[in-house]
Parts: sequence; C-alpha cells; structure tokens
Amino acid sequence: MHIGHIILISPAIWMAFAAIVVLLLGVVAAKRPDKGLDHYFPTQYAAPLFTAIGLLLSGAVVWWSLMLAGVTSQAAINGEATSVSATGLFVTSGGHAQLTVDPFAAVISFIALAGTFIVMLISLEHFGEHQAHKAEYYTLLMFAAVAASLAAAASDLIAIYLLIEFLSMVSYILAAYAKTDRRSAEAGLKYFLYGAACSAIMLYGMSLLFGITGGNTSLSAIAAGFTIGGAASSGIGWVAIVFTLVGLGFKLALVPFHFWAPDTYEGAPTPVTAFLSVVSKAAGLAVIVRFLTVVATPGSAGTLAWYWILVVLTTLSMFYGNLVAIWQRNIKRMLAYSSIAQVGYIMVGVLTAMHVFTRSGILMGAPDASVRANISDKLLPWDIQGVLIYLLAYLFMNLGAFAVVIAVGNRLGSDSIDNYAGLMKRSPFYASALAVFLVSLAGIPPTAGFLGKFFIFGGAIKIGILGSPELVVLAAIGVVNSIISAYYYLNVVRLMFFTEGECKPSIVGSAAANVAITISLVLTLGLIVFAKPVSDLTAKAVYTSSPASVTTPAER
Amino acid sequence: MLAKDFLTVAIFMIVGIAFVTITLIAAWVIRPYRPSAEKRGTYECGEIPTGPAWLQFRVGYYIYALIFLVFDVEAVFLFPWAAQLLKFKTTNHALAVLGFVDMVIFVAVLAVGLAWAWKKGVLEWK
Repeated sequence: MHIGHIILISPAIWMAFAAIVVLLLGVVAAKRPDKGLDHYFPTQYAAPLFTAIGLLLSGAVVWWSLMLAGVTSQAAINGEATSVSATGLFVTSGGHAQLTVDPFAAVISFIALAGTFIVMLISLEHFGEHQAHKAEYYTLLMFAAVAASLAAAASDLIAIYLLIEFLSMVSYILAAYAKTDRRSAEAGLKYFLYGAACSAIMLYGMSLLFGITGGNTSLSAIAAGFTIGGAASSGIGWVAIVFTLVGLGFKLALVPFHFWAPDTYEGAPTPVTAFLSVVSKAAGLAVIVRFLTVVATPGSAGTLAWYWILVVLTTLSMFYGNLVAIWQRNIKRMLAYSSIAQVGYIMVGVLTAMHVFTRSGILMGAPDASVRANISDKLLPWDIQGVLIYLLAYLFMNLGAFAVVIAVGNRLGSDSIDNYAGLMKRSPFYASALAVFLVSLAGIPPTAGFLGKFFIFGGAIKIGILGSPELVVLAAIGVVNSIISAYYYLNVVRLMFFTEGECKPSIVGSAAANVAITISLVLTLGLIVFAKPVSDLTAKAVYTSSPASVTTPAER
Repeated sequence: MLAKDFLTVAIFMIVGIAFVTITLIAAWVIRPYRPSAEKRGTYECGEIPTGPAWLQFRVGYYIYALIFLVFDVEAVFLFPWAAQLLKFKTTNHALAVLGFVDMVIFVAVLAVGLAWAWKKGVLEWK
C-alpha cells in the first residue's frame, strides 16, 4: 500500500484530535461530569476556535490539491511499479486510492468545515452558557465535520460506507441531543430508523456491485469492471446501482427518501437542523457526484435506467418540497421542506454532470479517463461546477436563515411564522438579514442563490441542447419551482415588513449569533461580486477532479 | 466468473448446514442417556439458577454492553495485528513501524473513550 500525501487530510486529522481534546476538557473541567453541568472551562469557545484553525488548514488544502491535481508519480506497490495520482491516499495495487483529495473533495471539505464553524456560532446563541453536556455536543459536531470532510474524498466503497455511517451515527445522536425534549427524542429515533433501513439497503447494493465487478471495492476499479461482460446492463447491475442510490438519497432527503426530514428538522435542536440541512447534505452530494460520474455512467447517460429514475426523483423533489412548504406555519418545517426542493435543484446539476462525463466519452468513442479530462476542457465554462457554486451559496443563505430563526426564536419562544409579523419594527437587522437570505433561497438577483441557480440551470440548458432535451425540461421545471418557492419565502418577508405585529420589545441577539449572521450576509451578497474568481476556482476544481483524477489506475 | 464466485458461497452454506446437522445427529446417536436433575438444569456459568429467565433487566446494562463491545472489537483487531507485527519487522520494516504507530493511535483513542466514561460516572452502578 502506498500512503500518499497524508497531509491532504490534515484538516480531518486536526479536527479529530481537537474533538478528543474538547471531550477531555469537558470532563476534566466539570464540577459534576455525570450531570454534564457547570464547566469551569469554556469548551463552547474552544471548539469554534479549533474549528477555525481546521478551516484555515482546509483552505490551504484546497490550494494545495489544485497544485497536485494531475500530478502522477511512480510507486512500487506490492513490488509492482504503479502509476499513482498525487491526490490519491492509501493507494492499493492497481493504483486505486481509497481516499482522493482532489480539488472537488477539497472544496466540499472546506464547505463542510465552514458550515460546522457557523453552526457552532449559532449553537452558542441557541444553548447559551449553561448547556448540559456541552463538551460532548461540540465533540460530536467536530466528529461530524471530520466524517463529512473525509466522505467528500471517499473513492472506495468501504470508505464511502464507513464515512456515511460515521456521519449518520453522529447525526442521530445530535438530533436527539435535547434528550429531555420529547420531540427531539422523536427526531433522533425517526432519523435513526430510516437511516438504519436505508443504510442496510445501500450496503446490500454495494455488496452486489462488489460481486458483479469481480471483487473490487475501489470506485475506479468498479467503473472498469462495470463495462465488461454486460454487468452494467444486467438486471443485477441495475439493482446494485439503485440500492446504493437509496442510501445516498436518504442522506440528501431526496423524494421518496425524505419522510424523516420534516419531523427530524422540526424536532432536533435548531443548530443541529442547520447542520443536517447543509453539511450533511454537502457530504452526501459529494459522494453521489463521485459515485454517479465515476461508476454509474458506463455508457450514454440517456440509455441508463437509473438516470431516468433520478430525473423523475429530481422533478418530484422540486415540486413536492415547494408545494408542501407553502402550507407550513412553522418556519423550521418550512425550511425543511424548502431544503428538499433545494436538493432537487442541485440534483439537476448532478444529472448534467453525468452527461458531461458520458458525452465527452461518446464524442471520442472511448470513455477513457484521460480522454474525458481533455474533452471536458472544451465544455467550459458551465456544468458540474454549478453544483459547487450552488453548495457554496446554499451554505451561507441557509445557515444564515437558520441563524436568524434561532436568534429570533430564542427571544420569542416560538418558531411560528405568524410571530414574524412586524419583525422589522422590533429588529431591523434580523428582519433585513432574513429577507436577504430568503430572497437568496428563492434565487432572485443579486444574491448568491441566483448565482447558483444561474450556473446550474444554465449548465443544464447548455448540455441539454446538445441532445438531451430532458435537461432543458428539468431546468424549466427548476425555474417554475423557483417562482413557486418565491411565494412562501416572500410571504415571510411580507409579514416582517408590511404587517403590524403586536407591539413588543425589540430583539437583540448574542454576539455569536450576530457574527454568524454577518458572515452569512456578507457572503450571500458578496458571492456574486466574486463570481469570476469563484467560478474559476470551482471550474478548476471540477476539471482537475473527477473522474480524471479520481484515481489513475495503471491498467486503464 | 459470476456463477463461480457465488458457487463458493453456496458450498460454504451447504457445508455449514451439513456440519451442524451431522454433528447433532451423530451426538444424538452415540451419546449415552443418563439424565439427572443437575444435568437438566439451565446452564448459567456454574451458578445455581434462581427464578424465571423472563425478568426485566435494568436499562443501565446497555452502557456496559457498549463499553464491552468497544474493547471486544479492540481485541479482534489487536490479536491479528500482534501476530503479524513481528513478521513484518523483518520483511517490511517501514510497514511495521506504520502499523505500530497506527495501533498506538487506535488504542489511545479507545483509552480516551474509557477515561471519558469513567470520569462521566458511567461505570458506577447507581
């Protein structure tokens, strides 16, 4: 085995180490550790500090993986000279990496850590000074960040399964964190039961994949094995892919695997909801993009049964999320349903990506990794970079919205949308910030959400007119849905600005919440100013990444 | 390729079922039959069984089960590791050092978990 540049996963290593330190600080510095009360040491400040350092490391890794992308070296693995990609870690014989920290993974990992950092800030606001078991809470958040950041790089079925499970386990506990609150316990249990079932189905699908491709766990080896002997078109290949997609669909809360989402989002402590809706989804999306573009597109995407299933599920997710969100009276529940629709938009980008990689293969008549890399340069500037740009936008606008919901909800003692009436009079800052985030979620310019939708739908149309009309239709459905979503997002804005609420004292949140809201606000408005560098960075990340450098096995 | 791979699994299953069945039948055929009260009693690790088995266990047991499981899994990893480490020391020294460092980290992480559980009062029976 060839270890590779282990420093590429230094953010995850650092976060795991810091999580253990925070855990120990919590018990050492506590008066009554068994009750989880009264820490002498403020672990609630240590954890965000450690995470900020992890975020800096992660930024360095993004830059560094861009430098390393495309670099290969020769290494002796089991006495055999093998071509090894510089971004591949734990490379086994044949040059197959178990983790691939390509720029795509590095950017997603950065998103995961940035999301965790903001979630920590809003946790300070939500739980306050005297939080029970707070060291454990922050430890779990940090471990979840580790899992999400590594899952983005997982390029092997075992790594994918372990990291998705790692992330899920931590998420179950976090969802049930307020254990004396019945709804939080319900949230955790529902999430766990759905998660366990979906994970079992995914594992079965993976075992079938392992079997039909000749006993390989690495995605690149499976991709090679999938094209021989008609494995891809066989019934068992179909079942294997669809079963694996069930587990990934669950993490994304894609319709019809969304049943857990509304109850879990409403019942879980709000910072955890924010985490689940952004970081957990980013990790799931990274895995699904890698899985679909590397393994599941052996031929033209249009001829694959699961591609059409995904087209239908994407459409259903957009419509279902938006149409149900209209009727919600609880803002957390509304954001939960809207996040189902948001995943639908991002999936349009993922489906476009499937086409980009297969189309480039078809054009050259050889779906070879190096050929794909050359061709995809010509398909610049739009396609799967839309997924990254949208995720960046979604990170800030959704977390920002949750930050305001927490700050306001904490003061009002309620998450009902009706209580937002007249918020402008009580807190101009929160009202205008929430208005910006909701406008951005609806995709109205000049916000980050518009930029994301522009890239995703623009990319879908650009690739769609080359001979895949369904992508154009999906983009059109996406635009229609954005209009539907504008109704319920702007309804909250209308309530805040144009209705008279009961006259109550003004709302002032904590410094941590205000910092989180300000960061999100600046980036939601600022992303479009930096559209060019962001687009260049993500384009570079995508075109130096999957599948060309997912791994470069010598025999392919 | 496919059929051959699953044939191995099928043979494994058949042999597994046959082994248990044949052993039980053989034991039933050749064993002497001299029952006594002690022999017919429920086996409880040498203790004399008291009361019915259908009683409610304290839910607190699950924490012990969890901590036991952690160290059980640790043992599963430690034994093959220890058996192979000396061999690697001569054949592939770099891998042996790496393996040693890895295992130290692994055991240290588990030790932190135990220290946490201890300090948290999980190990005390209340």
